[in-house]
Amino acid sequence: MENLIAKLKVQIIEELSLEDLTPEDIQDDEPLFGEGLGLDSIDALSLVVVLDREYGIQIDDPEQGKDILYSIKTIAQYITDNK
Amino acid sequence: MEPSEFSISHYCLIKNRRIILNGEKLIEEEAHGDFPSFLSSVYKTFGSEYTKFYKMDLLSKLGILTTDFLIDFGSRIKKYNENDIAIILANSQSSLETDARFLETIADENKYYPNPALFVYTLPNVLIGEICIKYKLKGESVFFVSQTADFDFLRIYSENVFRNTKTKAIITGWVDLDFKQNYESILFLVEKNDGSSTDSSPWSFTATSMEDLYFEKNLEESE
Amino acid sequence: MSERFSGLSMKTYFAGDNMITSLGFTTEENMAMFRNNVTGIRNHRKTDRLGIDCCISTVDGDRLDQVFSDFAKPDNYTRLEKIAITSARYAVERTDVDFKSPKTLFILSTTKGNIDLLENKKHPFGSDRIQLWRTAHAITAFFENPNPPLVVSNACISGIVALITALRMLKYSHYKNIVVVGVDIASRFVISGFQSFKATSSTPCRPYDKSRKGLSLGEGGSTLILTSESSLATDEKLVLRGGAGANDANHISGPSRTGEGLYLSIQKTLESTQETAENIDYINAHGTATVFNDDMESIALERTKLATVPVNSLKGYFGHTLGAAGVLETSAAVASMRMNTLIATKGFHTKGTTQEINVIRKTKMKTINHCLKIASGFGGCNAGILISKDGTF
Repeated sequence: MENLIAKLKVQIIEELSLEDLTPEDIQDDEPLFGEGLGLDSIDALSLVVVLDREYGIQIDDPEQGKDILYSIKTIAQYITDNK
Repeated sequence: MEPSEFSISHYCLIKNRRIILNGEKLIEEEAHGDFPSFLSSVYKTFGSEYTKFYKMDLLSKLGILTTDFLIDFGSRIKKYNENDIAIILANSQSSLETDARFLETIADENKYYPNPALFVYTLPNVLIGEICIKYKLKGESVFFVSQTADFDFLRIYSENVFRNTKTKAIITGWVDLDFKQNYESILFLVEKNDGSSTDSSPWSFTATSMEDLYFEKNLEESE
Repeated sequence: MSERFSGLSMKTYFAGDNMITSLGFTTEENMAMFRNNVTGIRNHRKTDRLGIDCCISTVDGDRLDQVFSDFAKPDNYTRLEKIAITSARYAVERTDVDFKSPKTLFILSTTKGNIDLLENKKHPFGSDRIQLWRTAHAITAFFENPNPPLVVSNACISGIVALITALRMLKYSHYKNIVVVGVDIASRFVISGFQSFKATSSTPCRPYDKSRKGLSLGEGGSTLILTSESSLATDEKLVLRGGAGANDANHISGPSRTGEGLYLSIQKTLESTQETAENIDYINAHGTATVFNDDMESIALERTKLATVPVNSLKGYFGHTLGAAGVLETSAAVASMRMNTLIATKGFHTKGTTQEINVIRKTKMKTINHCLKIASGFGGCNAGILISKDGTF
């Protein structure tokens, strides 16, 4: 899962245009939305696209999405569990 | 002829890798690198820290940078209330450069991943939205599309807005970007002449005045 | 102030109108369908013309070509242009407005224009037909109007902004008539985009309803002819008294949670027309049926003391027509005022917004002297206009 986490950080920075961040700036456990990284609703939708495009995972339910997209770790866990 | 009630207190032009602010060349970049790199370079050198910049499409980045210089990152409009400033912009290409990018994310039926972060920018007025968010402006705004920059129309319409609403200052101009990333942007800060510093501004709010600045006639004369 | 523009005393009247949607090609046809509780929103499959699974409202293309061929060759114009031209033709039919006059100006309101040309590169129209200004020219050239048209492209409030622009131009310029044409077509481009926002519903939209799940896109065209000449006004003499816009300054796609921009737009509209909330008889609102938009509207209406005024959204009949919406829905509002009829909000059954508002459930008669039309859109933009019967203010 370490590799997946590292890969996700790179993908997220690129997809969400977080150009002033490096993977080292993103903690595995920190909340992506609200506090922590402070991503917004469009970022959430972009993450849904990344999960679909790169990992074949579809999230249609926003409520379920909130839990999955909580942190890099929860995303990595979900991908691992649903491969 | 009646003295004009309004004048241009500041203007900023971004064209041909140059940024001209009130007649002075702020930046003139060497001709290497593409338009996106030019924008990033300008942002990194001069821009205030504003992480949302990177998420914007190229048209919005162009418009935001022009605005940043025009109003000196907000200091020139501090005297105004959030409801007092109107934004009246126009261009010829609408958001077509971004439209083409969004299309790429859906063109191939087998690689169909519509990108919401791009889609939101397939409307030219979102550039105005970005300016309003950054500078907390809640006034009137409108985005027009025309074949060429019609400064006389922008003047007429701005004056209508001044007369018809409580607007005290207007950011107006032309921010354009085509499919091939040819770009040009000129914005004017127009204020009511009220006996303060704006009365001594060198540029009257007329089509001729705006065209001269757009075509850089003022710079030709001084060179 | 120059005597040429005695804008202060002059009024802006509605001289003509037209609506083209899935439900009909005239205002009368559409209004009859609304009264009969009919919706034009339906499911489309990937194998259909648009090439995408969706639940939307589209104009009858065969009927469009049939009608259009009475006055021009359908092949020479794009789908959007045919809708726009047909709409403007119908609108001017029963008026004495001269489209060829230099005192008549056209304003086109559209978000994406001929966007189908971007996707389908093998079209016969020339590379610049994708440009909105070129599309507008195709329309004014058809009517032999000598003035370069204005084009307003301001997301979902384009139509309202175009009407406000027209009002200001009539007040302060030499134009006597302004023809505002609002139009947008259904396209895979736009449908994909809204689906990527998870903003669309797979069933016909339900404005303000507790179980609303998103919007239904719509294709449509509409024309409103405004005039400063009282003699050209329709019999009912409806006046566009004022309007205003304001930005949320909050987020580019999500509406302000406090309805800030819409609140300011309504306040400014009422203040500038010296009208009060108590006098408003009817509100034709935006009601896209997304959770956030409808909530935001309810908050703005509560803040402006308009929560008890009968309000509807007509998007349950013909969907969200984007650049056409502001013109189309204002046409319906104007027709409602003419007929003194409040049209039911199709799709609404159970209250479902943060603030309680008075959603019109059943179509019924009511004297409407003053109507407020509001809209909001991407980019945090909002606008409102006030329409009143002459003699009531």
